Amino acid sequence: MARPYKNNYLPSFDGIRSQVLGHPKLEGVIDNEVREYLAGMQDECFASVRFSRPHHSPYIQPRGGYATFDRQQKLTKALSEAGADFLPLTIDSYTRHNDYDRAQLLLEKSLGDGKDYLNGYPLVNHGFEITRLLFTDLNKPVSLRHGTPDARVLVEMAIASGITEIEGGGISYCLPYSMNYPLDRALLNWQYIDRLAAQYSTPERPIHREFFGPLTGTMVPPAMMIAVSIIELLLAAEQGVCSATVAFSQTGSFFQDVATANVFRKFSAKYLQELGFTDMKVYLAYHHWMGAFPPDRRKADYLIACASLTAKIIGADKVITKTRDEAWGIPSIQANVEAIQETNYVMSKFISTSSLNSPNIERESQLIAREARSIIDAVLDMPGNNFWYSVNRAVHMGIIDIPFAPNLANRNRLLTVRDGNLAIRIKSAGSVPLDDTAIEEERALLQQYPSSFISTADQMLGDINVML
Amino acid sequence: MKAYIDIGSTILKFALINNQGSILSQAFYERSYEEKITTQLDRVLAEHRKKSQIDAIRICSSANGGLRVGVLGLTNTFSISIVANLALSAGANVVVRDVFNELKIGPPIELDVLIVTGGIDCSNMKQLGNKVKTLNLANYQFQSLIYAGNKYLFESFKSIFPNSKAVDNPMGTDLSLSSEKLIDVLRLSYIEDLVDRKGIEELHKISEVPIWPTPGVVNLAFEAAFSSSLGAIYPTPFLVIDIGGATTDVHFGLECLSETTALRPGTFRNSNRHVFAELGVFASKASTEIALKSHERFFDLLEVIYQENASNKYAEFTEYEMDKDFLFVACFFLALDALYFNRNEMVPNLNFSKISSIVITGGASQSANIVWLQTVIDMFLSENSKRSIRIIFDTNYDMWTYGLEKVSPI
Repeated sequence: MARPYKNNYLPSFDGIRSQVLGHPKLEGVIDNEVREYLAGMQDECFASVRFSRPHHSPYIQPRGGYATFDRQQKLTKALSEAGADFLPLTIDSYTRHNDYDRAQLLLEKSLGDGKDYLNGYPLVNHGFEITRLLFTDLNKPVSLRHGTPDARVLVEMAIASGITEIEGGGISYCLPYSMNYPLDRALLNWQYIDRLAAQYSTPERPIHREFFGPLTGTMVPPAMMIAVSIIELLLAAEQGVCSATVAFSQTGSFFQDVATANVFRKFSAKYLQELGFTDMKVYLAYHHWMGAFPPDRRKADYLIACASLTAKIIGADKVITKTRDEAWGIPSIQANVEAIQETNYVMSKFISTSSLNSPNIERESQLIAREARSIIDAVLDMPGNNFWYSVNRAVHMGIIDIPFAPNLANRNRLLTVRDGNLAIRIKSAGSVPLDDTAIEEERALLQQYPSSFISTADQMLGDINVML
Repeated sequence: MKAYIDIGSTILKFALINNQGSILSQAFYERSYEEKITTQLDRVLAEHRKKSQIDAIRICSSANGGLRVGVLGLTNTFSISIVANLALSAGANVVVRDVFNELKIGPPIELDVLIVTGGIDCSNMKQLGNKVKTLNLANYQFQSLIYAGNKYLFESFKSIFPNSKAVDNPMGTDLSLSSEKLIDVLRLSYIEDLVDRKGIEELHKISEVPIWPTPGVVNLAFEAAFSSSLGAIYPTPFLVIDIGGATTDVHFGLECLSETTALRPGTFRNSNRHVFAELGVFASKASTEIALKSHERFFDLLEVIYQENASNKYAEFTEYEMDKDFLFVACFFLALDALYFNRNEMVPNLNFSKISSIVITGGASQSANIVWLQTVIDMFLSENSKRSIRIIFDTNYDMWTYGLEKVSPI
């Protein structure tokens, strides 16, 4: 069985790295210089250090990226002053798809016209020297937010820029983000990134990794979010990563969120322990609603407030915010600032002293745990010698199946709907190996809380647009 | 030690491989058509056995131009693309892609294998069923007939063409590639095809692996390179280009496909092969010259290669034949041009800014001019990204040896 094990490092990492560093965009990125730069940064700039310190409320992290340096700098300062604990650097879509030429063209046009033609910061084209200036003196950790199947050049540039938290993974940044990119190569690229993060880490100040649990953000059942994140966590652990965050997004059902958080915590610890990765520290992040956002800004505010409250109740270590402008495109600086303030207000006014429980939450937790365990164990029990390759095969076989993921490798046989309580239910498992009792339980819950839709197609559309 | 052998139409390539998979020595022999291939091979092996112990032998073959495959579609878009793509990846030579009952003039096309395809696996396909009943294969003369279409119609197909065999429908239940079984069947057909040719069957007995076509071996190496130490030698993503006498082969990954390509991404594998059948330095020399001379950037190409001597070369090449060194450049240029610009919907359109390196393998890796090829690449890149694609010559035939190493015994 291809179980992950300690120190199962990516073969030929040094050789591959010398090739990656040979990329013309990485000219000037020198390992020793980057290490010195990281060593000179304050402890506060390291996500891993921040997470390890006691915190009674989730850290707040907005999203945000603009094409030009000047605008990005204004955004970064504004977010920091508004109270963001973690600062974002969101990358544009062309860079995410390694099309640095087009990113350069549109960066120049943005500079010329004084208008943004990119939906994020083209870090690879800006380079690390100027990007370091974005964060100097702010003394806050910076998180790289992107969606890149081959992020090797980008992450080299990010760490050289002083970014200490890298989001993504071979599954979560390939299947939901790219139609064509081959999954096997994405998994190998992310092994490189995990190994790179481990190599730049010191025992006191590791480079932190975060896995993108929300996936497509649309009707993904909690068990699949958990299974994918735990698998990415194990893949990273193999490469020597020792500080990481698992994450999920608001499902639309409050008690399902609470149950998901419970299982996430339990399973992260369980699988790391069982497989011998005892030195890994794991935290939990919660994303504000990632699906179709209401265009009505008042409704958007309500949704953000509810999500912030949930983040607080589940005891998340970090909450990643959305803005009231979400339905309308790239949010303004002001909208982002207000989202931080709103999130901060809700979380500071609500003091949660004990964990929440109820028969419904308990029942949901047991169901999610049973399903997530079935998926993870099916991957762990696959024959072969390499865990990453088992993961690749598991996707192609439909064991891992992400609703609405556009990638060609994704089977798209898993069908989910919402029950009358807005919890996400698995209507048809496709090839996802769920046991009969789990399927029966899903059906029973669907019957117990029936939805008002008559046809499945109408129901799917209604479920996607549930928050509008 | 192992002996790796590539039997070509004109050259027999021999390599001695140590237990770590590295080449210790290589030798090239002109194919002697006055004796059986087995006789020549025995002689070559005896010569090497005097110096080294050979424990095992692996053979591939690029002789006879590969398996001649025709693809006939009952429907006219996705199935043909998918099947042709699988056939190319198997190392076959796709000589014709036709649509159902097209009117043809002239003698039947000679093929080793005819593949009939079309439709997804849906049970209610009345129109497709009618096409099967009225299918006319008189345009083709073939050794073997494979049905790779809607699975519910195979019985009907078989009743009309009793000697046909079926493989899983490559399209399955949607319009994307879902089964690669056809590749295995074609590789097997290649072996049978070779065995049937006089004198070849003996080779089969001495090779510890099935004899695959050489392009299929290279494609296998390309596919596996990303997860092996080759990934550390060639910056990924990379293309592999083999400029040969008759054809120019390009092996490319799905991740380099441009979003503007006319071909549906779902019709591709992760690792694909495209063949420019009209580009080559010997058998296809004339068609290469014609294509280049009529190209709008012919003089631009001469200028970047020959600089101040471009006018003289222009005069020379318009009157006389091009030399081999320049023909490598011509094939390379025309292949890149076709891949870069979306001119022909049968050619995949690649996004060059996503490519990190181009590996030149085969004969060109031994004799083409690396500086010239690098200059050609720069013609397709913006000022900003010049030199961002590296040319690497596979001078040790790593792609070939690695591919042969990866072929599994039956």
